[in-house]
Amino acid sequence: MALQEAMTPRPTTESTPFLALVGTPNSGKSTLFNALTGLRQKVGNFPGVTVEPKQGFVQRLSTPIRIVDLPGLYSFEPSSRDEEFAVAVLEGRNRSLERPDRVAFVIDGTNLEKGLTLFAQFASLGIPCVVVVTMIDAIKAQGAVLDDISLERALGVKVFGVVGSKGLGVEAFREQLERDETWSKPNLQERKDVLERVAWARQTSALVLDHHNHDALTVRLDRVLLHPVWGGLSFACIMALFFIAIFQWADPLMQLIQSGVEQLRLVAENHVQQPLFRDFLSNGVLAGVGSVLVFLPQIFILMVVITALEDCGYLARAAFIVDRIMGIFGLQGRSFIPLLGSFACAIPGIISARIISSHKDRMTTILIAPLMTCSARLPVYALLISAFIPASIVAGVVPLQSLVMAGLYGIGLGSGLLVALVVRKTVFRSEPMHFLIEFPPYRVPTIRNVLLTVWERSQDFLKTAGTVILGISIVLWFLSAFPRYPLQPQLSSLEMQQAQLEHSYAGMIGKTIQPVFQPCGFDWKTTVGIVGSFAARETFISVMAQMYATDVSSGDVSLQERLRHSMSLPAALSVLAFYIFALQCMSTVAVIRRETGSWIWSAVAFAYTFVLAYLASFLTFHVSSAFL
Amino acid sequence: MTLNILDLKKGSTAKIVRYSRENAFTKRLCEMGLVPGTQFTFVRRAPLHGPIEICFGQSRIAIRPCADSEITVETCS
Repeated sequence: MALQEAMTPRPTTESTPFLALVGTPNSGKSTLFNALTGLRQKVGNFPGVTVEPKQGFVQRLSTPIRIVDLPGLYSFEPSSRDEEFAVAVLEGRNRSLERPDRVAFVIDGTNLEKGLTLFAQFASLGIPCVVVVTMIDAIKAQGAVLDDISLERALGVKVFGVVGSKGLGVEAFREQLERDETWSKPNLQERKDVLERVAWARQTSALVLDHHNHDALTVRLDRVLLHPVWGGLSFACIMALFFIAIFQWADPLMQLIQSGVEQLRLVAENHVQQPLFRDFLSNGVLAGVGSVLVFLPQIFILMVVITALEDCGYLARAAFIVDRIMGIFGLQGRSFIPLLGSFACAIPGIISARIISSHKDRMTTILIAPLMTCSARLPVYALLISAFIPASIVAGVVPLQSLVMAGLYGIGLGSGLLVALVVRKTVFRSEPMHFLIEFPPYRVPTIRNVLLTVWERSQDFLKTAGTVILGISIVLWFLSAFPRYPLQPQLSSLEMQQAQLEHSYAGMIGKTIQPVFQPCGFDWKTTVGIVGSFAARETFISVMAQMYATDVSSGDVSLQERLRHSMSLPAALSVLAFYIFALQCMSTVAVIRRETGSWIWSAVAFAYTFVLAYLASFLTFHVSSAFL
Repeated sequence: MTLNILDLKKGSTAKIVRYSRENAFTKRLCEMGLVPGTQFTFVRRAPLHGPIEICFGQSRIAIRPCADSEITVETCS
């Protein structure tokens, strides 16, 4: 409740000053933003724009100041959507966010020259500002001294030194925010040519900072982490840890959420008298809520790991290591991060594709992200594998079931990369793009920053995925609950459920379109399962359980038995093949729409994966029927 | 002696002489401070002939120039 209050921004008036944080990427803007706003921030939703700058209110002030953290930029000639947005806002050309009245220009103290080069360009906008030099502790650690008085004189604006991660200097800065005399327009001559700007920045930097060294720790760490052999090994270890974190650590939490939702369903079933409403609550609303919530632990852990890796500076290095391999498939080093994330869930994966500045690279990455084997496919794979694949040992050591599971992951990844290759040769045809990434110095990530970022992303997921899945879940419930099948006293409740489903709209739809799936070997029950899991893959199991009148909560064993008796092996393999490819996830479709700004790309992703899924099942069914 | 940046030896120091053309990539390099005349160190190359890492001033960047934007450098003794 207290949290809820903290999240609601104070009412704003026309006179509320609007402050923007501007600076190069990795300058420490976001850390400063978090230190100033705490939890009093929200992600803005800007229609048609994929960028969502964080906005909030500076805390502990007598008059509220609205503050926005604009995306980092290197120059006012933007090269990515993030930069384009920041420039448009500062030039007053953005329709959804007005031009800020004041700017706190953030410069990384360990790289003054870079920040000053951008400042030289920013100065000509004539916005009243101050300069905040961050990470002054790192300057001191190198034994250097920053002459802030000379810097103020050179720029014509006030200069503050802070250590955002430790909060040092933040209070002194906050106190000055409200005073009008703090802000002034920069006093710099305009330098149109980049050569002049760099020369001026170098000169000024040398004037105010007596000497500088490269961060010794960064040099030493990179010697190992980017070493041809050790670098590759460390990369493999970090990736292994990544997967263990997502699949092992998240498991207990997922179980907890699942049993929590089960409890709620029991409460609903025991306390609601009206049978139809009871069914609606339990199988429509709560089942829908549960299927969203159950992925939250994985997304949470994924986000913690990715944010921590990014904040400490490793992600840029990982992109450097894999760039060549990704290049074979027409992708680049930066595509690696979203694809890695998609193994847990395509939603955060697709969101993180924002770090790719090249439009074509980014779109290709988004299009293939759904082919990475996400965790929602796991329960479906697990059910069918344990039902149909014998628990034998291959070559003396490898269990056949694990081999099949690994194979399904491999086929997903391989086909994704092949699709990328095809897309880059056809739709997004272009010469290989150059790759450019900055290596920030290694830093220990602050827990506060990581958690704030993750908190914001999780909320985002719940809003986007939650509303869509809940909506679809209710629609699916309606389709399977109507028309009502008359009560038959001689049938058990499970048989009654089966009869209800068979005679419902969902059952009719399944029977009607079953001929479409006939060539893939699906009977009408499987077809209902496929249609029923149209919104979320994992619902396949509960739908199949209803189809075969088994109770899933009593363990899947009876369902496996029944499946084995009523489904042929080729048909089961065919279903597996279908799930490798099909985009049976409406949340992903919704996120693609949001991230690309167009339903067209959602439709393209859905259509191409469906075609692949259909062809794969068709081939699998016929080939395996011929051989098995 | 001038040569292509990709032909530098690991650990060697060189100076940017010119970019073969002005495009988004080379513009960005200049904006990051790597203007012609800048001295830098060739730190390492990623495995399998991947991108190269260079450092100059306080910056460390990884780049993979493509065929159309050749970077000519001059080694410093």
